[in-house]
Formats: sequence, structure tokens, C-alpha cells
Amino acid sequence: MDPKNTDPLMSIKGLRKEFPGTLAINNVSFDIRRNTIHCLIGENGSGKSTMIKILTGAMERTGGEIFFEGMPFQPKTIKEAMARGITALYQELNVVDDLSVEENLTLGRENQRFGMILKHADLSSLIANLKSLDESIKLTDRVGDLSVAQRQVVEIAKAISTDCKMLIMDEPTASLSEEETKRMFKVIRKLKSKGITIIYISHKLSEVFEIGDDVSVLRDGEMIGSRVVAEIRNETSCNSESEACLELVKMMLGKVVLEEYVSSGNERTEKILEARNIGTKKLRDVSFELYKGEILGFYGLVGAGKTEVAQVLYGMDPYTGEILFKDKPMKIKNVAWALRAGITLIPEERRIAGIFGQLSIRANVPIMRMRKVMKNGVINRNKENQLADGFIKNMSLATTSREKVVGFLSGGNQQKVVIAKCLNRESDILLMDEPTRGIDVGAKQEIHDIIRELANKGKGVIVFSSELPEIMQLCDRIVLMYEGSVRTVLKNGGNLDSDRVMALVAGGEVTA
Amino acid sequence: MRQSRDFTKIIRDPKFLMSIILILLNVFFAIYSDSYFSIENIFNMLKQSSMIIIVASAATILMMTGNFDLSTGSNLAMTGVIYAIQLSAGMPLWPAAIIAVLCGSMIGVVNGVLVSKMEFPPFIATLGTMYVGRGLALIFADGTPVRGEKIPLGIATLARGEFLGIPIPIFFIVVIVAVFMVVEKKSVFGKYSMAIGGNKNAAFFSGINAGGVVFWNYLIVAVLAAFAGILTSSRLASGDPRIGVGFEFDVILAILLGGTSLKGGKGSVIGTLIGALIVAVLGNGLDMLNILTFWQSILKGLIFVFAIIINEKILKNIGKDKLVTAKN
Amino acid sequence: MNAKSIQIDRQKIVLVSIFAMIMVAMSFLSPRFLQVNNFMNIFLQLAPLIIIASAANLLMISGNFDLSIGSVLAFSAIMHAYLSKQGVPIELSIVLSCLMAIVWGVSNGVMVGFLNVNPVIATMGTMYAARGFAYLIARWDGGANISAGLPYDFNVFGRTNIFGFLPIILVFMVAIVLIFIFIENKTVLGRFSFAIGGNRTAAELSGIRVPLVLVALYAIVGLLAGLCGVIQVSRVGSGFPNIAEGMEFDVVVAIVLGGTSMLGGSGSTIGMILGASIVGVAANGLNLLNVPYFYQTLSKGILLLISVFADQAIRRRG
Repeated sequence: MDPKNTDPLMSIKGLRKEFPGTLAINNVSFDIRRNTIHCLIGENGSGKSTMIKILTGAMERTGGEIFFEGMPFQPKTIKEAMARGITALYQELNVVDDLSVEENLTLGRENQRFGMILKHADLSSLIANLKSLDESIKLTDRVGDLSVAQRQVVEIAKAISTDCKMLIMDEPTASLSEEETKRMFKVIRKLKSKGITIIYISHKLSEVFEIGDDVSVLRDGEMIGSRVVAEIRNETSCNSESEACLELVKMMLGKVVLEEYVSSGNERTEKILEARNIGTKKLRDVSFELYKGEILGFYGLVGAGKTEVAQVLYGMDPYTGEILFKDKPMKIKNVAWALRAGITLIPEERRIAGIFGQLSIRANVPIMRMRKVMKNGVINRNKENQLADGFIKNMSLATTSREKVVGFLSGGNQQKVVIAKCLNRESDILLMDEPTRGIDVGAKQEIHDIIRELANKGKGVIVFSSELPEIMQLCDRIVLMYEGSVRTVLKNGGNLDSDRVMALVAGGEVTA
Repeated sequence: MRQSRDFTKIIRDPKFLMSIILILLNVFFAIYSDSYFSIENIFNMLKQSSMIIIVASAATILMMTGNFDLSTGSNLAMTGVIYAIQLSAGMPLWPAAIIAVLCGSMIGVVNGVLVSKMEFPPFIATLGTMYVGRGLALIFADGTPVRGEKIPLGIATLARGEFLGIPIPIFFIVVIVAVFMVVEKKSVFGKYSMAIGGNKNAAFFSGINAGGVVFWNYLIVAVLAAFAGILTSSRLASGDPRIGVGFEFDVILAILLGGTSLKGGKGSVIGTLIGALIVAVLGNGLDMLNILTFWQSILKGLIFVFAIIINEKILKNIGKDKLVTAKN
Repeated sequence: MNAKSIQIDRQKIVLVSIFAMIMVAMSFLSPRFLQVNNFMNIFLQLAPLIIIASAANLLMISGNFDLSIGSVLAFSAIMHAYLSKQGVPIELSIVLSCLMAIVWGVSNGVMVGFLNVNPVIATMGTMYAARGFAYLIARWDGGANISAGLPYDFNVFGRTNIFGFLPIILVFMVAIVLIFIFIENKTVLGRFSFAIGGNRTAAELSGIRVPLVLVALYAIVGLLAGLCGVIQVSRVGSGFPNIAEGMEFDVVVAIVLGGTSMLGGSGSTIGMILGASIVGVAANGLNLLNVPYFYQTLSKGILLLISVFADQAIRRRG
């Protein structure tokens, strides 16, 4: 470590990344100081992942400059970036489960003669590296038998043994328990003491204050602020971390420009769904009610547990607790059960779980209730056409023919196809997980209108979203989630304060 | 070296179950048949399965990369035919053998290029070469086994000869299995093969050239299949273009029985040996009991599916639960 | 029109042109080629393949395949001969043999659909087992095959000519093809097969009962394999347990040549027919030119590799 060198390790100036039709990163500038743990936070769509791809050499930037150790940095490949000393650790661990720890550490760099592996020249320093991070791991252990945290350590040990100067960690604590997270922090601090600079990406804001030296907040592809953590703590002049978190949340979410919430005006008379004390690996004691004709919202930051709740309701995950339909208890064992009970899910990742990309709109739309387009047991083309045309009209897909292959539609139109597909099931309860993610403003509005119409027709709709404006515009009541449990359920309308909402989902205290 | 001494680890190793089955079978047959444990019988068993063991040893490493080869049987036949043709034209044994093996390895080159460079699915690529190889074998031999007076008697030594009282093919088995065990456990090539099948990304980020490793694997398998073709040709004293149909399945069967996963990653040459021996023991034992050969085919199928299911489902605790894992 | 449908049409155009080229070349090279008799022969040879490949095509569209086809065919053939010889009425024997073929198919489907066994492994097991039983049954009868002692009307079924001149197997072939074109486009089974093959996760989340669909598909493949076995043995008049070795591969060639992707999600019956026809016409042409049969094996391999290569090239540009 060079005590005299106070120049930043990496300097990013005016970074720009364009994709056809979107500007993913817009004029982002910040510095990463040497030997710090620099947290990078931002909600989905903030440009975080694009930034990482550029830094690791997986993607080339469109504009701007990056300096690493004072020299221009423009890697064309991942290997180039690695050669400069930048390595990334992702959630999908890059270790080979069937090999031992030692074999993983030496993978690609074996000491060999005539193709035979010999004892590694640097074995002692490898061992030292490993032990300094986690003493419990033995070189002869099979990596697949280790816990997730230990596997991460092996990957870290491998990275730092290659003269790594900057380590990018993408959500390293996502699958760790509290205990393991504490140990991971120890590991990270040890890395820092070895002179390594770390970019730490996480959505758990509390971690920023536990382990971060600096924090940079991205939103919609722009750098909102890059601050020293200690300063934030001082400025908010409070003891509780949640206040400091609120500051960050505000940076992350920005000024929430809310449209008027228009109440659907539906009387909450009939309770169609009730959940009591739902628990899973991530959820704790989640309880809520859904009434016919209302739009219930689930809001929280990434990782709060919204999608987990949706998956429990749709039978995708095992759970403890009770679920009642119209006051009758029911166990939802799998997707078929959920469908039978009258629940349909519009999933979060439409490309992976929602659309049949290689089929046409006409073929996709009726697939959850083929009965509707069949006559005498056979698919009737006319009925299919009518159904598809009807939806195209109702959802304003005006420029599209029903034979168009769904995989080639825009994101917004694809989402509409998914919604149409699920609506055809004519379930009483609709779960929508991030219904307008990655969709342009115009289409967003249209989808919101569709959702309101559904509620008016008497369906119960649950919208799971991490976009506050969407939640506050649409939902009659809002369930606020934080780290797997329900903080509170608020009724929308009138004097609902977005600041208060943000504080709550950032872990703040529930008052009144 | 790779496994810790943990008892549960031993049980979960597929070789454990397979070894037990092998031992049980041996005991069973020894009880029910008198001459089971005679040297002659054991030699017979090993000789019969020698082709499979020879090719499967190399194919095990290939499967560890997550690929497989359907062309080995055709390769075997084609090489045998080429060998016999040269011999009956008067060529001396050694050069003829070398040329024949070279021809057989061409199939490996094609396979390797198709799969690693042109990204053909292994099934299709090796299916194609299977047809081509078989076609060429038939064409070269004009449809019938290549016999000839000019074929020297010495040709049979390779397959029928003995050295120190032990049939030569058994030496080959020992040598080849030993070689590939070393490759699997101690060579860079073996380690890289396992890495590629286990986690492609990890291999990539470690700088491993996956395409190259896969290519060489296909080439090596082809060379051994060609060698097996020469041995078979020796045994039959002719080049028969019609043999080896279904051979590739027997090879894959031995490998899978031995605990190597079809998806790649972990694998074991010793396991393949055990797998091949189980099939051989079964066949031999049932023969001795005068049970019809057809039952062997049936039993092969049943044991196969059973063993795989037990290995995959129970011992490894792989359950089929969630459909989509949440990232939030 | 959009890129993807242009791609698929382009594929069909390529197929049709190859087919046409071969036809034209053949008609020049051999005077016997363009005769009705000859075409009848071509399709008589191809008929079992096309029949089974229709179902196997839909199976591959769903992302799976079946290596036990040849063995099940042989099994049913021998079983039919055996039962008939033992005095079972012919109609009943046909039905029983086909039922047993369905059982093989269902077992494949259960292993792949419910137990999540890899299709290669599951159907390989069936392949060994069914073939073994075929040999076994022949042995029960007392020999390596069943050719003597069959009831005098054993051949009636296989040698029936509809309208006096159309062999029954050709009629079946046309019927099955039409049925599968229908299934592919107009039934839930067809729609769900495409869905499962295209995006299995979305299929499960859309409430499609994937295991059941797979069982149905495998059962149908088994049934058709059995049916072909019965017709074959009935036509030939004797049962050999070693027939149809490697047929499963011929089926794959026809299907892949026809444009069905091994990954699932796309394909068509018509494409498969074109693919099978190309192979069949090429084989026939070589026959007429007195080229020994083994050149066909070679050309099958080359055709397969070239067509996959072309398919990939088209996809890459598309």
C-alpha cells in the first residue's frame, strides 16, 4: 500500500452507455478511492448491472472515460480487465463443485509438467490466503459440499491470489444467513486490510452503514450522489441507522412525483383472500387480507420479500401458516392448486416465465384456458382470432397483427400479452409481480388502466411493485414490506406521505 | 485425494452401490454355478468386455465435459475393415495398423470440429459421423466381411495371444484403464475436462480453452475406438463392416453405471470399469446358468434404469421442487 | 410477416428445392424413376418411418426424444406373431400387441415426465429391455424367429389393399400424417407440446400439466411403433426380433432434416415429411442406379450434417 498515493484507484468521468432505444447510463461520474469499500446501490433499472458489465470488460461503453490507476481503462474482454486486476464475483458462483478447494484455487494455473499436475509452487501462499479469510475450509474439501458462504470465500481466495486490485462483489450476502453475513463482513474487512479495493453492490441499505466507506447511488442511469458514509451519518445527526437509510432511500428513489390517486370507489365488502402468519425461508409472519374489487399493493425495496409472497400464493414455494379463501382454509400445494383456487400470477420475468416467445399472439393468448377457443374438442381458428383481436383492441396493441411472434414484440407489448393470457383464465384473484417493469410510460399508463378496470369488474388484484409512484397511484391499500416481514398496512388516499412510506420500507419505526 | 473420509460421502458415491452390486452378483453366481471362479472363465469375461472397457475409459473423460459419442461402434467397424483390407493386400501388420488407426481418428477430428467449433449438439454430430463411418465401412468392404488368404496368421496374436499366461487383451485393459485413471485424477487435461462439464463459466474465467479440450477428447475416443477395431479385427481374422452396431450404447451404459453424470462434471474411470464388469459378469454368469442371452438385454435395461434412478434420486437427494427461484 | 416466420419458410423452401433437385436429377439418371410403381415403392419403404416420425416429431417439439422406437416395434412384431401362433384370434392379437407397446411408451413417459429421468437414459433402458423381450419371445417359440406355424390368415392384415390397390400401410401413413397435422395445429395436445418445448417454465406456470402431456406423447409414439411392428410382421409373414435396429436414429434424421429443432419449440409434420422424403428419394435413387445399399448409410450421415449446418447458418443470420 502506497501511503503517498491519494489518487483514486478508479476514476469514472461522463460514462455513457446507449442501447437501441434506451440510455442505460447517462453521464455518470464518480471516483473510487484506493483501498475502500465502495458501496454501489440502486433499484432495478438504475444502471447498476450495466455499469458492472462495463467495469468488468463484458461490455463496451458508448462514451466517457475511465481511468484505472491513472491509466486509461478500456478493456475489450473480461480477460483484459482481469489482467489489469479487476475481478468480479457474482451470485452464480464460479467454482467447480466437483473439484476440491485446492483444485479450484489452482484452476487454470496449475504447476504442470508433461501435462501432469504437480504440487503447486505457491501452495503455501494460497493456503495462507485461504486461511486468512476462513480457517475452517480445508484444501481437500470438495467445494460442492461447502456452504454457500464458504464457496464464496473459495472464490474470493482465488480472485485475490491473482494479483487482484479491485474486487467487485455483486450481492454477496443475498443467500447468507445473519451469522454468515457477519463472517462475510470479516472476510471483506480482511481483504481491505490486504490493500484491495472493493465495490460492494447490495440492496440491503443497512449493510452500507455496517461495512461501507463510500456509497454511490444510481437512479435511472444517473449518478445521484457519491458520498462518504461517515459524512451521511454525521449529517443526519442521529443514532438510529434507519434515519441514515432514509437519506439513502430518498437518493435512490428521488422525488416521488405522484399522480393523483383515484380511488376505485369499490366498497370493501367481501373478503376473498386472507393470509395468516405466512413463513418461508425468507418470510416471517406475513399476514394480510384481500377484498373483492380492491387493488392491494405490496411495496418494499428489492429483497423485501414481495416476490416471495407472490410465489407462496401461487403454489410455487412451500410455506407455513394459513391461507383462506372466502374464509375457507386451503393448502396451496402447487401451481395447479392455486389455479383451481382461482389465483393467477403474472410473473416478474416475462421472458423466462411468462411468454412463449416462439409462438404468435394468437397462440399465446388462450393458452391458460383453451376451452374458450375450442369447439367440439378442437381448436377453432375463428374463435382464436376473435379472442386475440379482442385483446389487441382492448389493450391498444393497435399496430400489431395477431400472427406476430411474441418474442419479437416490445417489452410493453409482451407484458400485455402475458396479462391477456392470464386474464383469459378468468380467475377471481390476480397477482401481478412488477407489472410494468421495463415498460415505457405510455404502455405503463395503459396497463394501469387495465388493472383498474379489473378491480371494477370485481376481481381482487394484488400488485407487487418496487416502483413507489405505481403503488401510490393504483392501490387502495398498501402492504409495506421490509426484510421479509410486513411493517404495516396503510390505506391510500389523501394524506399518505411518501416520505413516511419510504422511511418504513427502509426499516424505520412504525409510528401511529 | 478428492473425497474426505466421511462415511456418508462414501455411501453417496455411486461407485459404492455399483461395487456392492458387482460383489453380490459374483457371490450369487459363484454359489449357483460350479466353474464360476475358474481362471478361464474370468479371462473369458474380461476378454469379452475388453473392447467396451478400452473405449469407455476414454469416453468417460469425454462425458465429464458434458458430451458423448455415438460414432464409436461405426468407427470400430470401419477401422477394422481398413485394417483387414490392407493386410489382405499384403501390407505388413504394423504399418497397416497405424494407417487404419489414423483413418479412424479422422472421425474423431470431425466430431471434435463439429461439436466444439461449430456448436453442433453432440447427439447430431456423432449421429452423423456414425452413419458416415458405417457407410464407409460397408463401402470399403463391399458389404461383406473382408477375408483373404493373404491375411497373415499373425493377425490373431493380438487378440488371441497370451503373454505370461494372460491373454493379451487383458494387458490392454489394465494399461488403458491405468492410463486413464491417471489422466482423470492427475492430469491437467482430466481436471479441465471435469471443470468444463462442472461449471462452464468457471472454466472460462480461469482461462481454460473449452473448445480445445473437447476437441482432444473426441479425438482420443476415436483413436481408442479405432484401436478396438483393430483388436476385433484380429480376433475375427477379418474385417466385418457389420459389427459394432449398438456398441456405443454399451459404452455409454458402462460409463453411466459407473456413476459418471450425463451432464458432465464428476466422473470416474474406475467406476466405468465396475460398470462394464457388472454387465460382463451378468452376461457371463447367466450364460453359465444356461439362462438365455435375451434376458441379459432385459436385465441390462432394468439394472440401468434402476441404478441411475437410485443414484440420482435417493443417494444424491435431488428433489424437484421449485419451478422458478426468486431473486428478490 | 416477421423475421421468424420468414426463417421458417426459408427453411421449407430450402428443403423443397433440395427435394426437387434430387427428383430432377434422378429422373434424368434413371428411366425407371418417374413411375408410379417406383413412387409406391419409395413410400412403402418410408411408410413406417413416416408414421412413427409423426409422433416422434411432436415429442421432439416438446423437447424430448425416444430411443426405444426400434425395439418396441420389434417387440410388437414378435408378440403379434407369437400370440397368433398360440391361437389367439388375430384381431385380439393385434390389439394386445399394440396395448403392450403403449405400456412401453407410458413407462417412458412416466420416467421422463414424473421421475424427471433424462430422456436418453429412460428410453435407452426401454430400448434394451424391449429388444431383450423380443428375442426372448422368439426363443419361447422355439427358435431364433417365428416364421413357421402361423395361422393361414396371418398375412391378411398386413397385405390388405384398400380399394384393391393401396397397401394398408400407405393408407395408414396418409391417415396418421393428416391426423398429426391436425393435432399439431388444432388440438390442445399440439399447442401444449409447442409450449412445453418452447418454454417449459412458462408452461408449468401457465398451469399446463407437463408430466401428463409427456406421458401422452410417449404413449402415442409407443402405440405407433407397435402398430408398425404389427403391420410389418403381418405383411412379411414372419417375425424377426432383430428388425428395426437403429430405426430411432433414422427417425431423428427425418425429423431434424425437416427443420425440427432438437431443443424443442418449433417444427412441423410437413417439414418432417419433406425430410423423410428427401432421405427416401435419395435412397431409392441410389437403388435404381444400382448403387449398393451402404452408400445410403453414408448419404444419410452427410445429409444430416449438411442440413443441421445449413439450419444453424440460417438461424445465425436470422
